[in-house]
Amino acid sequence: MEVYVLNTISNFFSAFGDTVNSLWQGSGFANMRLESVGMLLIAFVLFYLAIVKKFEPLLLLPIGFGMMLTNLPMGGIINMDFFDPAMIQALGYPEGTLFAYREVLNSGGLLDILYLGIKLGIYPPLIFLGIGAMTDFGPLLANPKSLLLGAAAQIGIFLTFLGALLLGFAPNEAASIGIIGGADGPTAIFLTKTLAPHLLGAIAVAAYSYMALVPVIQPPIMRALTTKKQRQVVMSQLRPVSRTEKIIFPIAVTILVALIVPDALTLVGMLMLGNLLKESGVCERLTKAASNELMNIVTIFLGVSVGATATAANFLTYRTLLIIGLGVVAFGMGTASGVLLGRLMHFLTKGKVNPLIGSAGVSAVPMAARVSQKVGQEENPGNFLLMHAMGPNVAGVIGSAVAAGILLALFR
Amino acid sequence: MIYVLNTSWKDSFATVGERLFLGLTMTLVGISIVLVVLVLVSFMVSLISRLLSGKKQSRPAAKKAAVQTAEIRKDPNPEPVVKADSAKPDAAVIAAISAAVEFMLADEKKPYAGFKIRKIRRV
Repeated sequence: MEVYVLNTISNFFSAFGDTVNSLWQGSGFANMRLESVGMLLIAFVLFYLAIVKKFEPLLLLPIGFGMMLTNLPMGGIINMDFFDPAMIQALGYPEGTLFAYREVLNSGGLLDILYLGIKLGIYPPLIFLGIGAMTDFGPLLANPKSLLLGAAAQIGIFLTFLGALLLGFAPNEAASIGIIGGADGPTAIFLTKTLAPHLLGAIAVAAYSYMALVPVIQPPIMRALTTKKQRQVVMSQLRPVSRTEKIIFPIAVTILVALIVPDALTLVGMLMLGNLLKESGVCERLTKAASNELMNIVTIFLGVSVGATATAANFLTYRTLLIIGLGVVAFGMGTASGVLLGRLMHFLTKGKVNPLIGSAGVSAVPMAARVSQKVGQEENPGNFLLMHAMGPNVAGVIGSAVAAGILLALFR
Repeated sequence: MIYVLNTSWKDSFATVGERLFLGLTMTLVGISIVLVVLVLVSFMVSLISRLLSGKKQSRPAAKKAAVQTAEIRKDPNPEPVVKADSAKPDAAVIAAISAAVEFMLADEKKPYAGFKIRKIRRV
């Protein structure tokens, strides 16, 4: 009897111990690695930048949270293997299949489903739809020469591509890194998800961080490449732009870009659709939905999904540091090339163009235009360059989308 | 697709010189196409604005002439129109200008610029 009781008690404690042990082994604590801790710290840095420093909080906060979710062990919230080409082939799918759809639908986590919006190239065009619905192309239409400044700023993309190539990145990877210089997050994500999806996390973090750092990165370059007298130039008032011009513009640009660079049609077409909804004046509800609800929903999904791709294996590499370094170079070269073309235009127009507006050719709307305004006002408090700088700024959105289309055509 | 996108690209372009050649070629092609596209868009915008401004000039001139003719036929001795004094801007204009300047000067850290408008002069 006593032996029976002792055995029962012993079995109970043994079972209890096994249960506790298996719970412990299945917990995050037992499976936490040093790399995961490192990624969590990086996620906390993104939270700090977003919440305290207010650096692009709409994107950096969801990206940081997605990064945190994916690096918490045993969460299973995303399975990047389902999107890995080698794994997809190993699972028996035909060549060229984008993702292991059976596994995603049967056993995928929440972010596996949300990540499909990136993998299938849905979120960036929808964000461009919202951007188009919020953009006024009037300053650009009033001064079409702004388009040249928008084009010049995209030189940074290609020079960075060259630099990345020389540093040992493959052409598709170099193209994805170069597009950071376009200062356009959705474009960078749209291009990278096709050309170099394994670099998506690093490139997205770099792109959005540097977009927020535009007021820090640009002014020294602008002052270094211009003289005080050039910065003081007051530009003449822009002509008024008619509603008819604003309606014809998006239709004409879509057709023209589609004929020359078809791969840019997705982004440029959605940008122009949003703009046409706004300028037509007869789709107010659609315009409001595109610029508010749709934009906000897609931003959340995009940010969290992109952040979730930043696993320790992908992110904590020497290449990520190179990408972050090249991102600054891309931004700087884009700014410099825009300002230099601005100087050329200043010379050719005999002083009518303020070269500072050239720096606004990067696609960071409206931050880059505000930086031009601020630097101009430092030299001449009565100088209002904002609307003049908005022309190159919105031209840069079109330019970066066209550049992405060209890179897709060359390297897909 | 012009270049093969797998690990063999490094075998094809192993030397720095070959990578530089590839990079420069792609850079020139890419920049050229972006420039061409945006220059064409710029020409198109200029063309549209010229066509539309040309139509506008012909239409109002004809309309104005027709209205004047109708008015003269209606009343050969019209009373002179009294124009409001346009030298002093009205309160709505002052409010709009003040709001615009406030928006320009304010930023996230200092939402209220705190300035006074002492004089507005029409030039």
